[in-house]
Amino acid sequence: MRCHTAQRLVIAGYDGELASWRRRALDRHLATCERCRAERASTDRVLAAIDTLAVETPMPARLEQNVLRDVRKLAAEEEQGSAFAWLRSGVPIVATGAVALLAVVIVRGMDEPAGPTSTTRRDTVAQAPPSTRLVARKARRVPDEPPPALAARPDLFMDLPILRNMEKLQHFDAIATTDTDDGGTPDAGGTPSNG
Amino acid sequence: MLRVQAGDQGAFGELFGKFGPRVLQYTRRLVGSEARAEEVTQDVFVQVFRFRHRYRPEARFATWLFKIATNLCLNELRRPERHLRVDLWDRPEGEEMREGPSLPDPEAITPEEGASTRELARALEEAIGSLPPKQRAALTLSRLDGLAYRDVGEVLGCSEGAVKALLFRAIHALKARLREHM
Amino acid sequence: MMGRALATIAVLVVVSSAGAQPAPRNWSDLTPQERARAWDNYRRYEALPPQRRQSLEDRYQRFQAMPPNEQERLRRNYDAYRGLPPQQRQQFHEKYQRWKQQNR
Repeated sequence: MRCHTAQRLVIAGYDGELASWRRRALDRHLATCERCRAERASTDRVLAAIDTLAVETPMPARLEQNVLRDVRKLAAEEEQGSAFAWLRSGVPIVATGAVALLAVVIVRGMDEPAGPTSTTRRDTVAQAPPSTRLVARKARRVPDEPPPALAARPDLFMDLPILRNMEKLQHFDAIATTDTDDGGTPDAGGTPSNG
Repeated sequence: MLRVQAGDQGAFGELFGKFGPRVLQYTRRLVGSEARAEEVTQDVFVQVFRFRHRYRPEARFATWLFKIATNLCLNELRRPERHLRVDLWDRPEGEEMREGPSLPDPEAITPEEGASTRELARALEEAIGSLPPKQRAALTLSRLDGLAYRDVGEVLGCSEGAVKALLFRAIHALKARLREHM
Repeated sequence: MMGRALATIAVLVVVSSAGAQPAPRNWSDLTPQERARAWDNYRRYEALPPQRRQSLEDRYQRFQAMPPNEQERLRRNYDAYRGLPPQQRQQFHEKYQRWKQQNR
């Protein structure tokens, strides 16, 4: 494998998107090519930095309100549209009433909780939030063979947030009750413990 | 989504709650303006509802959703008046620095570490913002939203090979811009 | 007599286990969620400058040397911190700066 090809495949290899034979070829090349190993290390640093970026952002309340308002309007327009369509079709009023009554009966039937025998893919799909597929996809990026540093001390990385904030966590209660210049001592909340 | 198709507006609210923040972050990265990102996000979900019957359950909902979002973002970027607007990824001299997209690092409550992490994150967000739209979209969808390359290709309307090429070029460009930070 | 011996042994076991360090876990012992968390944190760690990594190594040694109940106390405090709304987190930062000044 040439360096040019190897460097183009590093990211895909990182994401688990390479066929196994390609992965092996890439690994063989990296084992013998210092330049490509250095490139991979710098790619690694960039990807690690990207992975620390926020994925989600708080949703402004007005945006949510606007969306739900627009959707309600749209739903109302659709209902109106279908109601007018019935009238335009010239169906006799009595027949219209009978169909409307039937529709109400059907809709009320739909509101009844589905029995165990009526579990369909609808329920399965509705209950399996698509976001879990995304989470599972991210989890699949966790390598089966972790890097040596991670394999040697997984506890260090499990507790990394605690280590990064150790002083604060050791003196949490004292810090939370410290007066600030404005004299306010808002409650830090939670159940802090100083032992 | 199937409940939404059946007319359950409550289900739509749940869908919005689950995916809204991710879509907002995605549109923000693509269009580069918080105000426009909110408008585009609003349009995305209105379109999701308007065309809900076109969604096929065999497809991944996230792929369908991000396809809508990407198309609306790219349309927004192509609008003529877009080129007249100040590119908010650049910081005009003398103006107060915009915060840009929020960059919470929930782990970094050490101010010193938080500061250097924030600096890198800000540089990274700027660098991502300077990428061509399709590279930016490919990077965001695969790295931050966790879509498989096949799904990214479906969203962007290109092959998996093209996705790999987009990502390679994007990372290459980021490395060049972030050299002093890395 | 036998009962007293058993009670003594039980007390000794309880006392010794209160001070005993939990055995460090292997990668294979972690659940998939724990592995994902450790992996994410490993990536963050790799992105840090070398002097920060060394500082974390030192803290890891100190943390490992703490008794389990002290480790648990820190974990509880971390959970409490994570539960704070953003504004209170910011206030906590400010208090921390003040506390540092007062305790130098």
